[in-house]
Amino acid sequence: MNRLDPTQFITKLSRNLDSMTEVEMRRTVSSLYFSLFNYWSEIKLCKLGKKGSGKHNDRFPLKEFSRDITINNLSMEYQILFELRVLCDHYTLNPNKIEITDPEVRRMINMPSIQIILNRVSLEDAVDYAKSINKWLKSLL
Amino acid sequence: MVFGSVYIADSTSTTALDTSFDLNGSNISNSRNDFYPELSGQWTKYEQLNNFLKSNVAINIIRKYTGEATLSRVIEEFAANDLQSESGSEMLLELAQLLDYLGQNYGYYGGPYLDYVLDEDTNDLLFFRLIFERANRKEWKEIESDLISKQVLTKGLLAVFCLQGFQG
Repeated sequence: MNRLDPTQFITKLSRNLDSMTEVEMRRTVSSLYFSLFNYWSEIKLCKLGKKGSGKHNDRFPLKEFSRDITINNLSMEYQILFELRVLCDHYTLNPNKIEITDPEVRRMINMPSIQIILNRVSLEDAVDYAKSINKWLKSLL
Repeated sequence: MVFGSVYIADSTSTTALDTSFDLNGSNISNSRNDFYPELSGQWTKYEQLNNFLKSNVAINIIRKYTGEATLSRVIEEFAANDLQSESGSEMLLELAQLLDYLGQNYGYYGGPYLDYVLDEDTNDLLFFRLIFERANRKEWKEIESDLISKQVLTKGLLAVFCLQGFQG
């Protein structure tokens, strides 16, 4: 059951945050996110016996992952890690902006977009929140 | 379900056919059909109309907190395009009640506003977020815990998101 356990991986990463380039920071955030997703899917399949899709029933959707985490009171941690991961994997500029999706809601609020930045501080947050989510995943075993 | 001072007319207060039975109890509805099979078609229509009316009440409340783009996603996700279904109307009612509850109890944080999050890779809906403008991370966690304790049908579909807290 610990084949995809990311505990050691997260610990190793957290020891090397000081000297990272932006490329390394981007890959760190992305790999943190997907290491948790992989571990969650392993627990779903092998421990909880839930079937996913695909030939071997081992493919699970991200929305199920995010909803499982949200139910368990970790949605703040998840969303901060998630938005950073979106920045790292999908966008070129850093800092960048997150926009509210619904255009009418954008008009309703005073801050229609917020700044998102990948730096040492946000990277530390990402590692800390990955540790919190990993702790919850271990509690499922 | 009633949170705080929010009140939404529920089916038990409606008296179109018969005041002696509870419209929320499917068993009761079945037993009525057993006794009065000639009324079963009429009963089904009444249930559908009742669910549709509940959905409409809920939608009007939800509309205060969001835009049409989110609203159509909510209806698609919760009611599966069928506003006459019992599960869909109940989920919409719960969301409406939660929005009013959060607005009354945490409105000073600037919210809630209902928005949605898509998967950047697949464009699938991931979840809906209840946005607050001025809550920090500690307050974010408090609102989140309160929300989870009040959710029954919409668990996992709604997440609190605080703009100020997000920025650190």
